[in-house]
Amino acid sequence: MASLEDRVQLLEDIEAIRRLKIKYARLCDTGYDGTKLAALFTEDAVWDGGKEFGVQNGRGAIKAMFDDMSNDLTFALHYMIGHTIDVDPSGTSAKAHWYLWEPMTYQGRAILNAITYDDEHRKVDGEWLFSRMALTFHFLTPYEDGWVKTRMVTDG
Amino acid sequence: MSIEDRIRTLEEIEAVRRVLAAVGATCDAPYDGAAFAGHFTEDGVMDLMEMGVYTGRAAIQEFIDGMRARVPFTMHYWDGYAIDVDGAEATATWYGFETPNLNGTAHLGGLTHDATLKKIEGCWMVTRLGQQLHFMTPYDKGWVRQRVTDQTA
Repeated sequence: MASLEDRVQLLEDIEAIRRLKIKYARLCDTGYDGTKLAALFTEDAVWDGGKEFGVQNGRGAIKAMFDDMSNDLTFALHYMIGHTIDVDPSGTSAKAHWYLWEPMTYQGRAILNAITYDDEHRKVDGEWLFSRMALTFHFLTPYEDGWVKTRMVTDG
Repeated sequence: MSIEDRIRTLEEIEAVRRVLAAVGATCDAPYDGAAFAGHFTEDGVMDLMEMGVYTGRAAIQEFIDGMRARVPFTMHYWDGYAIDVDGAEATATWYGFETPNLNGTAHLGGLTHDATLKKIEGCWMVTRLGQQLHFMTPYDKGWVRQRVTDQTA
């Protein structure tokens, strides 16, 4: 049986990782500040947006991507839902899974975006950061079409 | 209540929430009936009201696997959990919305759920899962024009 101290630490770590994801969402929704967003990632982190949005390697590339994001993505609400967080017994790394429901304005069009995230985390100097964020796009559809008529607007 | 018991309660709430998250994920398309039913006790009950009541793991698995043929895509967004743990028993309520393709049409589903669970040999198992369907509407119509589309047809 783990010590009381270790058990409390695990609960605190889960809560800290949950709050990190919410912080990420709020920064996205308030203008995609590349500097602040990149600071949530480790220096060697990977942001993997798949074939739709590409792969960014390292904090510098992640910052540059977010700094450009507002050019096309002028409005978004990131509803982060249904998390599962697994902290490694070492207490220094973790994995997380989330659902995202995201109404957004992309290139002037109302879009509904459905994503699941597979995140990896490392604890650096006592702070939980993203070391990898992988996005799976389930649909990215114009609002007026819906996800059966147009599953991925990027395919068009 | 001792600090030990208070921490134990927080751990169990997190454990129950994780089980329910796993239940939700296994009924995303393509529907894994065996994995879904595996979270229930052998005599577990799934009460879907207008969509029927299914008793026992085999009946639950059969129903979920049957959905695979009828619903080629859906996601289950479950959150807003309220979980109460009392020793080896727990109750939970939560909200859900779903995004199924029904009959070739995008649908939005608005639901609430409830469950009772038992801890058996260290694992939380669902003894009863309930569902209240508030709307299941064609995306292009909305829940006022058409409240519910039959998902079992």
